Amino acid sequence: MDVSIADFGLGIPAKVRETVKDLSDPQAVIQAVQEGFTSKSTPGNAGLGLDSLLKTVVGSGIGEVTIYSLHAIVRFRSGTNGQISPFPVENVGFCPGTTIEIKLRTDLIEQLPDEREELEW
Amino acid sequence: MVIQIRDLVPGADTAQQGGIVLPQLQAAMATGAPFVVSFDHIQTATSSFVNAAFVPLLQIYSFSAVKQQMRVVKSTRQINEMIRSRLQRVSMDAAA
Repeated sequence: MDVSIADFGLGIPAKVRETVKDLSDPQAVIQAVQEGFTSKSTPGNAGLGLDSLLKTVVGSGIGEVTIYSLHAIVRFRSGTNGQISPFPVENVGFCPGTTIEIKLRTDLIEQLPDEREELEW
Repeated sequence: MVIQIRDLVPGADTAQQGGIVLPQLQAAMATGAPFVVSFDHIQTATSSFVNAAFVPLLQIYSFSAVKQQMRVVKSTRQINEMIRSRLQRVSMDAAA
């Protein structure tokens, strides 16, 4: 199953370079997905959204995520050691804004029970 | 005391919704007594919601105090993991 989400904002590299300058577009995308990194585009942002997405999809081994933004195409896959690894793709095109493509292996997605649970700390 | 999230907000999706829930949680913590948070009829919670509703509690109370007073019931694995991981992470960052 493929899911794609797109916007026509400034693009991740442009936002990241407001905080960390002199990064290439692919480097900026890789920076953006680091846990805790945020451009604070919305007050209260904790820099967890992209990291959470990668851990949920790639880290759990059920798919891969590709981020297209400006001149960057970066694919995130799970390596043999289970770590989430970025793979910049050589790109001759341009993506205005950002597109996030999520490929899910539906045969590997765990079917969770419908029963409600209590939080165990 | 039982705080029904669904009575306060239609979903646990946005920071704005989390901001509506936070005062109720703060008031419950302030009593010093155990209380219950129910996610009945709520299927998922985003990190934005949890950041706004639960994480600010750690500015006033320790993680240990929150765990002692607050029970989360009628929840889902995703919601529980989001709350637990966010609060654990913030408390670890504060300790570092």
